[in-house]
Amino acid sequence: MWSHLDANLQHLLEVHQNMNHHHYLFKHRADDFLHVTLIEQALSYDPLLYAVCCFAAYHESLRAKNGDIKDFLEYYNKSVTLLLWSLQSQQKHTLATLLTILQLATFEVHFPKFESWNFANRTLGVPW
Amino acid sequence: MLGHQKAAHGILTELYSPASIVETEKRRKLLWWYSRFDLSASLLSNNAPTLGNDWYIAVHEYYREQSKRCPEDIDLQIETMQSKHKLIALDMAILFAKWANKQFGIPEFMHENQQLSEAIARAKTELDPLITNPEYLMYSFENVTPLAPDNAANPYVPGKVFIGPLWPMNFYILDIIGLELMHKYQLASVLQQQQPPELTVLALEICRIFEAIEDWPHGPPGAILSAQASLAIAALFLPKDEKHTMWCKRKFASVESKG
Repeated sequence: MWSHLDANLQHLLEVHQNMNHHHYLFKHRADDFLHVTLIEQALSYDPLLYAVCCFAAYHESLRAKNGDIKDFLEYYNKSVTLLLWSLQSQQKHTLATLLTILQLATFEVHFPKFESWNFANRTLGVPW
Repeated sequence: MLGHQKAAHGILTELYSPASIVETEKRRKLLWWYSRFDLSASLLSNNAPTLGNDWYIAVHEYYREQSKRCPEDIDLQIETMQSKHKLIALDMAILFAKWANKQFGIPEFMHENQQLSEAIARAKTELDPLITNPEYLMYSFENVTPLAPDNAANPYVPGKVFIGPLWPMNFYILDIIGLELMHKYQLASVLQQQQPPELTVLALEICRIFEAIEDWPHGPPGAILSAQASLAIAALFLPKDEKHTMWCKRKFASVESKG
C-alpha cells in the first residue's frame, strides 16, 4: 500500500500499525479508524503523512535507549510547514486537514513530556 | 492544537453536522478524537467548548438505540456508557465556563449543578448488568507480588478489576471518578468552601485503578496512557507525603516512557 514511499516512511508506517488506541488516548478499540482510515487519508495528503510518521517515530524513539529528539522532530516540522501552507492557501479544507491537526495535537500532548521523561529516566533511574 | 483549534472547528462543522456525524463509525471516532481536545481545552481555560452538546447527544443517542437493538452486545453497551460520560463532561465544562464568565448567579448555578451531580451519580451506579458481569471481574489474584511499603495503591482489591471484553470498563470507571473529583473540587471553589476530604478518597481510588491497569499482565501495550489524564487530576489531591509524591513521580515516568 505504501511501497512507493521512501524507506524511512515505510518503516514508520509499519511501526504505526503496531500502535493502538491507548496511544491515541482513546478508551475503546479504534483499529479501523487508526490503521485504515487515518492511513488512507495520509497516503494522499503529505501534512498528515508526516504527522503520523512523526508520532510513530516518537513512539519508536521512546523504545530505543539512545532515542533523540531529532528522530521525530524533522517529521513534525515538515508536517507543520505543509499544513500551514495548506491552511493559508485557497484550497478547500478536507477531512485530511482536520485529521492532521488532531494527529499533531496528539503528538504534542505527549511530546512536552519528552524532556521530563529523559530527566526522570536519568535521575530516578526508572527502568524501561 | 490550540493554535489550530479554530481551523479544526471550522473544518469539522463545515464537513459534518450532529445528524451526519453519527452516520459512520469513522465519523463517530473522529468526533471522539476532536472532543478529547475540545473538552480538555475548555476545562483548562474555563471557556465554553467549541462544540455544543447537540453533537454529543446525537452520538450518545445513536449508541443507546443500537444497544437497545442488540442488548447482548458488550461493545455497544460500553460505547453507550463512554458517550454518556463525554456528554456529562461537556455539560460540566459548559456549566463552569458559564460561571467563570459570570453568565449567571448562584441560584441558577446551583439548579444546573444539581442536575449535573445527579447525572454523575447515575453514571457511576446505573450500569447495565451486561457490563458488570461478575464473570469478567477479578476476585482472586494469583502469583501476586507482595506490595512494597512504598506502594500507595493496592491493585488487588477483589471484584474491582474488569477483564476480558469488559477491560474498557476500567477506563470508564476511572473517567467517571475523575469527573466526580473535578466536579466536587470546582463546586467547592465556586461556593468558596474548603476542599472536602472526599477528594482525597476519590484520588486514592483513581490511583488504585491506575495501579491495577498497569499491573494487569494481559492489558494491551500502552494501556496506562489512557489513564494518565485521571492520574494527573488525582495527583493534585493525594496526601502530600513522600510515599504518595514518589509513587506519583514513578507513575508519571512510567506513562511517559510508553508514549
